[in-house]
Amino acid sequence: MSKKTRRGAVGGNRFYETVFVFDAQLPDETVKAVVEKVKEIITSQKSTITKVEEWGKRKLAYIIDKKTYGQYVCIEFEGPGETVKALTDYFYITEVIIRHMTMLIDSRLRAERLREKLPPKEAVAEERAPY
Amino acid sequence: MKPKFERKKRDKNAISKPKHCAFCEEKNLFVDYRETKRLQKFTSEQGKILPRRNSGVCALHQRQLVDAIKYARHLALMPFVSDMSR
Repeated sequence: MSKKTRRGAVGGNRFYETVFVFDAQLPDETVKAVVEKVKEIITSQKSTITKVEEWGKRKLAYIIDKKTYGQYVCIEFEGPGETVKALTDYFYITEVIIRHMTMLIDSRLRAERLREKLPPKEAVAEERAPY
Repeated sequence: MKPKFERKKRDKNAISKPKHCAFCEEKNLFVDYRETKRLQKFTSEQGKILPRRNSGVCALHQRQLVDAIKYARHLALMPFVSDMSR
């Protein structure tokens, strides 16, 4: 599949989101060091980071490696697909990370952009919607 | 002579519910794997994904919903099997 025919691809760059989970009992220093390393890998692959979110500590829905709590970090970036391979290679090597996932968010961002253009009346209805 | 197969007659008094998709009401919505509270409404007590005939979601959003639930399960945001039936 050539780059031209790919939906949403401009010059081979697409939007991705990577989420990885640490053990909740880890010291903050090691977590910070790993997050910095992940950022380094992303920027070294000609990608640009657009957003960094820390979801904090959460209870896991099921036990992973005898752990019940996890620490979530989410990074959004734009770049070529080779970045994803470099990231997953790193995630598999590091034992501190218990779960990781990288996914395309082109369609989600497109939907968000369209939603911003909606008239304000409907925006009020969204707030009332029960989540 | 009786026909071999008798067609079932529809109950005329039965009330047919109008189907409506819970996601189509909001325009340009993409089903997000992070909204686990919302996704949980479309799973059974055991944690199974409800079929379209039960959830009432349109085909487009059901496809997004299934992906979203599976993403959430992988990241341990949602259970594969709920604590109730474990």
